Formats: sequence, C-alpha cells, structure tokens
Amino acid sequence: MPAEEKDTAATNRLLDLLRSQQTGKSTTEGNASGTVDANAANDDNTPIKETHEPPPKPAMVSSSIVPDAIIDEVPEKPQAPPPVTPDEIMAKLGNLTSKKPADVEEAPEPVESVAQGTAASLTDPEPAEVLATDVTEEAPDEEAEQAFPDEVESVETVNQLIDPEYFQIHPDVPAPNKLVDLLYEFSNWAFGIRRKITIQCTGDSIRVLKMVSAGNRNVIDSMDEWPLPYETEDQKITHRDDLLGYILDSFDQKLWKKGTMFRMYSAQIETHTKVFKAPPVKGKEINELITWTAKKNLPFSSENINIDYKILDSEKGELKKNIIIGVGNNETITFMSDLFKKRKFELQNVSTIPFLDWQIFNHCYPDRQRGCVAIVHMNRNETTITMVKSGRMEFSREMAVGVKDYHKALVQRVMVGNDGVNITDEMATEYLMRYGIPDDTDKEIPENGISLYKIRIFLRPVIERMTSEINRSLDYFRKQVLDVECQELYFTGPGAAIPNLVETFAKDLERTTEHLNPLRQGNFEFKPGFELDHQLIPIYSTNFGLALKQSSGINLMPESRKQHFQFKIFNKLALLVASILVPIYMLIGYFSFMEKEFMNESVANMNKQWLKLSEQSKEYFVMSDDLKYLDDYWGYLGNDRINSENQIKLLRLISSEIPDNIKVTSLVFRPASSKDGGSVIKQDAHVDRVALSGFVHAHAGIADIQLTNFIMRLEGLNMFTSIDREVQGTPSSDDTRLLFTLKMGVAVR
Amino acid sequence: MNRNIFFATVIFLLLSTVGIFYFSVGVAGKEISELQIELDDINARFNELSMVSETYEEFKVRFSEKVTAFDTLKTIIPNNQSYATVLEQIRQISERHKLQIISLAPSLNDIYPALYTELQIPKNHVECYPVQLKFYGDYLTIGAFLDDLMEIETQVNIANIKLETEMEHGGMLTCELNLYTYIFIEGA
Repeated sequence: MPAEEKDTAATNRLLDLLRSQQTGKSTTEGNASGTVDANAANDDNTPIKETHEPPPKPAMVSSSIVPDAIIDEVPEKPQAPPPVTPDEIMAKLGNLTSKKPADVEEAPEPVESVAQGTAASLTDPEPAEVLATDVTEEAPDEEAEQAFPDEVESVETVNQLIDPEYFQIHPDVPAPNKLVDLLYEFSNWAFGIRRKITIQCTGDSIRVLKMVSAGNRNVIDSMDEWPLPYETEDQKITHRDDLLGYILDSFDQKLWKKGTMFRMYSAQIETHTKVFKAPPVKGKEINELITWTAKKNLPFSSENINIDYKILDSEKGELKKNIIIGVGNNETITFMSDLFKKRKFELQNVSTIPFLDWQIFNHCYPDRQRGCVAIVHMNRNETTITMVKSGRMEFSREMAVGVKDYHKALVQRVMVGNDGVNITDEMATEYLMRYGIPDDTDKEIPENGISLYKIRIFLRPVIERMTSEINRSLDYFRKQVLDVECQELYFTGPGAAIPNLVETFAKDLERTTEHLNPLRQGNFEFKPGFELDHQLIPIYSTNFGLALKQSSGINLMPESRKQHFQFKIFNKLALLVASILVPIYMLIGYFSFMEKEFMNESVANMNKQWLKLSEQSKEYFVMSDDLKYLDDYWGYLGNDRINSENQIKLLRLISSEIPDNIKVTSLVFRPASSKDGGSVIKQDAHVDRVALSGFVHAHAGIADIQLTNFIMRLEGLNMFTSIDREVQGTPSSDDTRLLFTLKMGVAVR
Repeated sequence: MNRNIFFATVIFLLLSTVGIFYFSVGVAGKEISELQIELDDINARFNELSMVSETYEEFKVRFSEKVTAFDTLKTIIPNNQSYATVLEQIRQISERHKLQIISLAPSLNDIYPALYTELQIPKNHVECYPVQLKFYGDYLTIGAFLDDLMEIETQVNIANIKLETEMEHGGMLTCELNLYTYIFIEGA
C-alpha cells in the first residue's frame, strides 16, 4: 500500500471512530469520514441512510484515541438559515461567464446545479471541455433529487454562497455629481483611461475585467475567465502566454485600442513587495538605500529587476518613514509588455498583490484607517497577509498554503454507505465552491450522498494550518510593532470565495473577519442586464484593485514604459496646444504675407502713377526739396545768431540787476542740445540753462534777504522759466558772505 | 514614445513661435513698415502737387530768387581760402580790447547736418566750424569784446559763454567762449 493511502486510511479510521462515538454506530457500517481503505472489503452492502438526528455534542472523550483537536472540530448544531429557494440561489449565482469553446457554448442550457458552480468553475484547472462534461453528467442527478426530495431540499436550501450584503456600497458614499463626472471624464480622456482592462494571470486561468469609465466610476462590461488549458475550435492552448496572446487577439482593436488602460498582475512574473522604515535621508542616499533594500534577500535573481517604491507619510513624532518597495523581474515584465505591444495594446501597469490589497483597503475603507488590520489574500497556491496600521502598510508575508490545499484535502475516496465514492478534482472544486465550509453538517451532497460533515472534516486540517500561519504572522507583527493588536482581518482572493470560510476564520482566529469589499466606495457599477455573481468578487479582487487609480503607486514596468505613460497627458496637452497654435500661426503668416504683397502692389501702382507725371511736375519736387534744404541752412544760421544775441542780452540784463553787495564769481551759459539721446526733442523741452554763482557780501542776518530780493528781481524780468537756488552752507555769525548758486532756465513760453 | 513626441512637439512649437514672430515682425513687418513710409511719402507728394496753386514758371522764378539770396551769404561767410581771416579778426579784436588770449582752438568738423548731399540744383552750401576761445579780462572789456565780435563783417556767433572769477580778485575774469564760425562752400 502506498504511503499516502496508508495515511488516508489512518485518518479515515480516526474519523470513523469519532463518528461512531457521536452516532453510536458501529465502525463496521462505514467509517465516520466516509473514506475507506481502497483495499478493505466492504462487508455490508446495505446502503446507509442519512439520519436526520443532529450529531450529539462532542463528549469529553478523554479515553478516546482521537486527538482533542479533532474532537473539538465536531461542528456545533448551526442555526438553521432561512430557507432559500433554488431560484434565489440561481439569482445570486448569476450567469456562467467563464469563456467556453464554441462547441460548448452551443450545448443546451445547463441545469440549475451547474449554474451554481459558476465560481467553482473559475478555480477549476481543467479545460472548459471538462466543465461541459460536468454539465451533462449532472443531469441524471435531477432524478435522484426527485427521488429523495427531502434530502435534496435540505442541501439545496442551505445558503452556502457568499452573501451579497458583504459587497454593498457604503451608505455614506455620495451620489454621483454630473459636473464632477464631466470633469472626471475629461481627465480620463486626457490620461487615456476611458476604458480599462485589468488582467489577472494565475497558474490555471486568466481573468479579464473589462470596464468603461463613467465619471470617477467604472462600469463593468464583462468579467471573463479563460481557463488553462483552453480549447479553441482548431487548437488547444496550454501555455499561459499563448492564451494571453489569444485573449488579446480576441479584443476588438477599434473598440479597445484607443483610450484603454491595460493593467496586469501575473503570477508568472516574479515580484516581491517589501516594507521598510527608512531613516530621514533624501535625494541620492534614499535612492541608494531603496535599491539596496530591494536587492537584499530577494527570492529571485537581483539582476535585471525593475524597482518602484512609494514613500508613506510618517506617523506623528516619528522621523522614519515607511517605504513600500515593489520589485519585479524585468525580463518577464518586458516579455508581457511586448505581448501587448505586438497587438498594438499598451500595458501600463504591473503591480503586486500586497500593494493592490492595501490600496483597495485604503480607498474603500476611509472610515477604518485607525488601528491595525490584516488583509489576507488567499490565492490558489499561496496566501499573502498584509498588515496595515493607521492606513499605512507595515508588513507583508507570504504563506505556502492556498486554495489548492483545500482542494487537495477533498480529493479522496469516501465511503457513502457501502459504496466508495472517489471525489475527483472537478468534484472537489465544485463542492469547495458550492458548499465551502459547511455549517449544516447533517446534510449530504444530493448527487452522491456524501455527508457535508465529511467535507468539513476533510477541510479542517487546512483551515487549522492556515489559522496557525495567520496567527504566527499576527504574533510576529505584534512583537515587531510595539504590541499593536490586529483588530480585524479582511479576506480576499479566490480563497475568500469559498463559502463560510471567512466566517469560520472568525471563530478560529477569535477576531472579527470580513470580506474585503472593492465595491464599497461605489467605484464599480455593472452595466444594465449584468447578472453579478457575488462569489466572483473576491476572485476578481486583484482585477478590481488594478482598476483603481491608486494602484499606479507601485508600477513595475520598465522606466521607459512608465515615462511613456507619464508623458501621455503632457503629450496630449502639447498636441492640443499645437493644434490650436499652428493654425493661428499659419493664419498670421498668411495675413502678413498678404499684407506685404498688398503694400508692394500699392507702392508699385503709386510709382507707376508717379512715372506718368510730366517732367515739370518731377522738377517741381526736386526744386521744392532744394528750397526746403536751403531754408534749413537759413534757419540754422538764424538760430545761431539769435542764440548768441540772446546770450549777450542776458549777460547785460543780469549784470544790470546784480546789486552791489552781491558778487558774481561764475556765469555759465549752457544752451540746450536740440537732441536728447539721439532723438530730436520738442520745442517745449528745449530749455537753455544759465548757472550763476556768487556770494552775498552782507551779515548773515540780512544776506539771505538780499539774495531773496535779487532772485525776486530776476523773476521780475520775466525772462526765466525757473530759478533754482542752491545755498552752499550757512555762514557763521561773524562771516559776512553767503555763497549761492542760481540755476535759471530760459525757454520759449 | 510619448516622451519623444512631447519634446518634439514642444520644440516644434517653440521653433514655430520664434519663426512666426521673426517672419511677422522681422521680415514681413519691417518690409511692410518701409513700404508704408514709401507709400505715405508718395501720397504726400501727390497731395502736395494737388495743392500747388502757382504755375511752374512762377515757382521756378521763386526758386531762382531763393538760390540767389542764399548765394548772397558769401558776403558775410568766408570761403575756404578766406576762413583764416575770421580767426585773425577775432584775434585782432581781442588785442584791441587788451584781452589776454589763453587759447584759440578751431575745430575741423562741420557740425551742420550734411544737407548738401540732398541738394540737386544749388551747388553752394554752408558749413559750421566751432572755435574754442579762452582768455582773461575784466568785465567791461569782455562785454565790449563780445559786442565787437557780433559786429564784424564775417558772421561769427556765440555758442555759449562761461565767465569765472576768483572771490578774492573780483576784477579779473576768465572767459571761455565757444564760437560758431562758417565757411561758404561753392560748387560742391
């Protein structure tokens, strides 16, 4: 017997024992877990009917060989949820949006139970063909449901799916404003983000979220999943890159090329997110510190990497600042970017899960930024826990447990009555997403009668493992950050789509847990007629996060590509300005040219007319000019004469007015220049100056009076336009001279 | 790509802005301005012609009289050959008034605008040469000197006068004169 089968058999025996203790049945009727050793013979072929009595509460079985941990996991009797009709379940599930090959799409309408597997199909690694097989295989179960109506109803009415209440818009979110929406629309146009396509590449599928902007909101056009391998009409695509290329080829280039923002997260791209507290340094030092920290302890080669970072505001009184660093392998990112480029699409952003989760929380929970919370993103292969304190991302850790482990836990052989039922991969996926962590363990799966209790028991170890990992992370964080206690945990990712898992963690972690709701701030709407399966929201949370404007904070695209998009708005503005200015310039140039041509023509016409004048007329102008020049000569000579005569007259006049007790020591005539700075001055501005210096020979007491009298006499001559007096010092009492200078202006009045 | 387009657009805009301003102001603007002046001049000529009331013969007589009158200036303005007599006359007057000449410095630069280049029919014109004269004298003799200077045959004009004396010696004056002297140029 292989080792794995031995382990399974041992586990089954333990569960069998537990079951027998609870129900009083013999283990020979089938073990409690329902699993059987593949080699063990089935002694009793009588089918085992489900008892409707609730399992008794676990007794204190100290003598039991079953570990307490397992005994404790026996579920308590849950409160019966309100009965939900199949139609209501259908309404919640919505339509199957997973892309199917053409031949599958043409298949008849899937039965109701398959429709419930919408989210299940999203995590199904099998090709779509397999999904189609499930659809047809489930048809006979309807008969079984009819044969055992009570049992079927008991399972069907259990509401195991995600409650839409978790993804409601917060009531405080204001209603859209048309004017603001218009401004946002302009901004979206300018930044080229009127349409958005976010792509989430995982190991088993590619999820595509298409949306169109409406103001600051996004209207979801479609939520598509393309499972791997993917079969088209003529080929089977097994590689993720080929599938991505196929998906991109399927986009309508006319519709999605212009003004479309492509953002992406891919599990294929090696990325790492680090948070560290940086000392208060700036400039080159901080860049070097970030580069050094980014390269330190990378889980992949530090050669050829892209680094982006975001510096957060420091807390009050703290000098150190939190810096979030995103690191990505440039080779794979460039490869992805080239995939888009070949199809003439532009990949704008590649980000990391912790950063996206943090951005969703920051944006969608502005009212819960105080205290410390953890965001748990459960992916298929791993789970990322991100600690956020006072709205700042503080810590991020990846745990090697994911949805795949829940899935694996279900894949085993289960005894149902005397029959062994092999839970296949497809069944495991479907049960996981349909029933999740069952609360009502009395019921069974209608198709094959597997008890939900067994499902819960199978999943229990994985839940415990994850609980333990989360607790370890929380403990580590508490020790690192001054005993700060995490108050709430937000779950997202494909794992959060497992019904009742988040509620189960609430009990196990003894903390408040909640679904991370990317729709909380009303940033996302759904186009009319879109039937939303709320179970898809956590699965597409990365897509939603990528669609938020804030997610551009960490962009692992190469610097040249980032610059390409950073300059997009400036480029548009520059082109807009150019498109306005260039025609204006061309018009100005055209009109200038036309005016010049018109003037040329006018002058030519006038010259032609001038040439037609008689010789006498031409001679008239020659003589007229000569007369003007001769007059100018006469004028110059006349002016010189008048100026010199005026100076002599002024000299006589001033000398006749000077009293005896005033002695003149200097008399200077300064005729005004007819030009001032090279340009001819006007007549009004033409002022000749006369500077008269001397002294009053009298006692100080009367010298000033005598000088004033002299000035008044000069003013009385009515020859000067101005007389400015400058007294050079005050004479002492024994000095008999008062020195002065008079500056007189002579001009035409 | 966008970055390159952005910078290319900005450079293109800058160049086109500079280009359009250069063309509009520097090339077309300047040319238009010159043409406008030419056009205004032609229009003014036509207007002037339309306003002329005298006949050609009358105007020609008036012109001849004006030229003849201008030529009479040679009676009071020396020609090139007799210009030295002007300086001599100035010196003689100063000697007559017993003024002590400190300096007599004629300048050889014509300070009148070169209107003669524009003259087409008349061949004569006048040029003006300043002369700096510095001398000592008392107030009365200087006054008499200036009066005589204005009375000499050849035309001499005073550009400006500067009189200075020392406080303690009120009788003696230093006089600096800038004079305009003229030369009648014939047949240039």
